[in-house]
Order: sequence, then structure tokens, then C-alpha cells
Amino acid sequence: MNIFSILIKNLKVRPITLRFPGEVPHPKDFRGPVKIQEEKCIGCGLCAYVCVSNAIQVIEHKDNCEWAYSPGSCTFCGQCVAVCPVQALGMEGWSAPSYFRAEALNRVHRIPYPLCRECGRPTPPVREAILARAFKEVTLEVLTRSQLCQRCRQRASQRGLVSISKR
Amino acid sequence: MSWEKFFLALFGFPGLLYAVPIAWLMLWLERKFRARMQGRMGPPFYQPFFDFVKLMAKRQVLRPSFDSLLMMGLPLVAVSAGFVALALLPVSSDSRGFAGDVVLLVAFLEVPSLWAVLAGFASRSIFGQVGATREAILSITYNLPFLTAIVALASSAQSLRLIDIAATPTGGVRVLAVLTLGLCLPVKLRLTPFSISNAEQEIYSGPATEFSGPQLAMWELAHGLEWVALTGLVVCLGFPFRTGLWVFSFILFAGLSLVLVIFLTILAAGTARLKIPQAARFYWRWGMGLAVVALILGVLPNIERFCR
Repeated sequence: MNIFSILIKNLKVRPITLRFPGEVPHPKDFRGPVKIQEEKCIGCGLCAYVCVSNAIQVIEHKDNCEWAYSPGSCTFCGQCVAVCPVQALGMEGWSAPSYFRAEALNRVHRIPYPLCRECGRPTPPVREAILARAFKEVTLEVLTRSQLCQRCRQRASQRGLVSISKR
Repeated sequence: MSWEKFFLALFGFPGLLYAVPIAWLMLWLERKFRARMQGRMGPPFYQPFFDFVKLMAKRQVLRPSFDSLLMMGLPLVAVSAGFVALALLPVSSDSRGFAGDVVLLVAFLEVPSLWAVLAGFASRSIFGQVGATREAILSITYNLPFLTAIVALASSAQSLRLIDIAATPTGGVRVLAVLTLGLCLPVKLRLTPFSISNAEQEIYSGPATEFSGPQLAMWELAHGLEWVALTGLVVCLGFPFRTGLWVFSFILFAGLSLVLVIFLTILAAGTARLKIPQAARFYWRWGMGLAVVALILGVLPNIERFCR
């Protein structure tokens, strides 16, 4: 009986399958859940815009913005990571575990808005990475203006124009 | 059998308290041992319990009210029948049974398969209907030798009481009849090579295809109880040892049942699925042959009592 000798042989050797999921190593560029570095994010909402499955939502508030992510609806396509202008997004190297409630893995990050240097109103953050993309060289003037709110920035520009015309 | 004893058997040993954990253990042992023989790792021992809990927590699919009533009712009746069949088994040393309990036991053992046929048709799925048809044909096939073996045992013991049948001295009749019952186990439990009615690769799960959530959990439980009851029946009739001590007879009963599970698993892992005509030929030739010889041996010594 050939089959029974095969069965007995199988019983003697170690199983060829592995226990789920721990022992199987993930490959190097594995696309797991999206992670965010809050100190880099500028709250532009591009990631939410490109997300096909609506897994990322960016909700703007008065003094902060909410970056909400639900791995349950994520397809792990990596578009958000590719499109992020400041490289604030990345992907974990592990797969999302199974869970009982649909909301169990949802994450909300709050990106606080810094206060304007002049008027003290909360304003969306401008990081150096985005300045480096926008300007050839980041001068002191560019840096100081990046810490102002939109209104104060306009006023500063007006003041500069006025001072040039007076000269 | 007094009512208190019956309730003890129904809810204690070998009923609810014993049967549910041991049913899960048997389902696990079958899966694990089969996996190991196929070179796989197999599930951890708590897997059937987790499956049950997970299925119980699932949302039910909306159906027309009569369909959903049938689909919830049928597995529940199958589970209850499994418990009653278990309660009738003469396991504890002080159980006396009552005249005719073997007939009741056989009837209740047949309920899960009969109800699976009904459920297959009630689910209105093409796979369910094919599976139900196959199950119905198979039940004719295996019940012939199964019932003949029971009749042989009863006629040799001159009693329709399970305890009397178990207590008769071992002879040719008992060996042949228990062998026939053993032969009928894989097809009654829908194991390969007779897993024709729930052939996964052909018709998904046969009669249970349309079932999900708590209803499927009840079918799984009923199937587990079938395991316990049928292996228990073979152990009770084949190895009727009475140690007198409650603990020893418990260990003997459970242990021998598990050994039987391992044998069935080896058979399931080592064979391929047969067709219905092949299965029918096997049972009507070999099963029926053994059963008829047992019946002749059982009836012959008492022939003048029958003739009178």
C-alpha cells in the first residue's frame, strides 16, 4: 500500500507549512498599512485626493487638521506615498492583522497648526521640504514669511512692494 | 430509565457537558491528524471552538420567512437529535435503558442525515439539491447493512434494550455486526472515500452550501455530535467493558472513541472519493455480506423461538 507508506513518512518529517502569520518574513518593500510622520505633514490633502478606496481622509479644522486612515478599506496601492510632496507618508513592513470590529485599526492623527508670527492666528504648516521644492534657495526672508499666515504674508509682500516703489 | 437519570445523561455525561467538548476535540483531531499525514501543520486544538464562536457571531442572511424558519429549525432539530441519541447510549455503569431504546437510538442517529437532505432542498441551491440527492441515495445504501447489523445484534441478545445487547457475551455475531457498524461509520460521517454528499471540490459543501452564520454553526455542532454518538455506539457495542468505577469507564469510553477517530482519519487521508455506484457496490457486497452472516448467526440459535 504505497499511500500509507507516504502517510507514515509525512508523519515522521516536520510539516512543510508554517504557522500563520508570524514565521513568514515579509519582503523588503512590503506594502503594509500607511504610516505618517506628523512633523513632516503639511495637511495638503493630496493623499486623500488620490486615495481610490477613500481610506484616507483629511479634515480641516480651525487650529489643526485631522489625518484619518482606515486600513480596513485600504488597498495598499501606495499612491498616497508616491504623491506626498513632503515624504511624510510611508508604509509599514508588516501586514494588517485580522480584527473583530471594522474600526479597530482606524487611526486619527492631528496635525496642529502653528500660530502666525504676527497676528497669532493658526495657519497650515509650511515645512522646509516644500520650500526647497518651491524656491531655488531658501533665504531668511522666505523662511520668515513661511511662518506667517496667508493674510500677513500678503501684507508683508505689499509692504515690500511699497518700499521698493518709494526707493 | 427514570427522568432524573435521563436528564443527567442528556445534560451531563454523555450529553451536553461531555459531548460538546469531545465533539470539538474529535473534529480537531480529525483535521490535525489528517493535516500531519498530508505533511501540513494543521490547526491548533481550540480551532473548532473558535470556528463555532465566529460563526455564532456572524450576521444572518435575509431570506423569505419560511425559508429562514426551515434553515434555522432543521440544524437545531439535528443538534437536539444528536443529544438525545447520546443520552440513550449505555455508557455509565448504572444506566438501565428501557425496552426499545435501540430503535429510538437508530431513529435519532438517522435524523441529522435525513434533515440534511431536507435542508439541501430547502436551501434552493443547485449544489444543495445535488448534495441532498446524493445523501438520500447514500442513506439507502448504508442503512441496509447498518440496520441489518443492529437487528442481528438485537436478535442474538433477544432484546431491544441497548444495555442487554452490550451485555451479551462476545461471539461471532457481535464481531461481525460491530465490524459492519464500523464499516458504516465513514459514510455516516461523510468522510472520504464516501464524502460524496459534501464533496468540496465538486459541489462546495452539498446540503450545507447555503448555510452561514449560526445556522452553519449548528450544522457543524450536529456533525460533531454525530461523530461522538456514532463512535460511541461502536465503542459501547464493541467494547462493553464494565470496570464499575465511573472514572475508568469514562476514560475507556472517551479513549476508545478517539482511537476510532484516528482510524477513520487514516482511512480518510489514504483514500480518494468514490462514485455513488462504487460506494453502493461496496456496502451492498461487503457490508451486506457481513451483516447477513451476522444476522443468520444471530437468528439460528433462537430459530425455534421465532417459529413458535
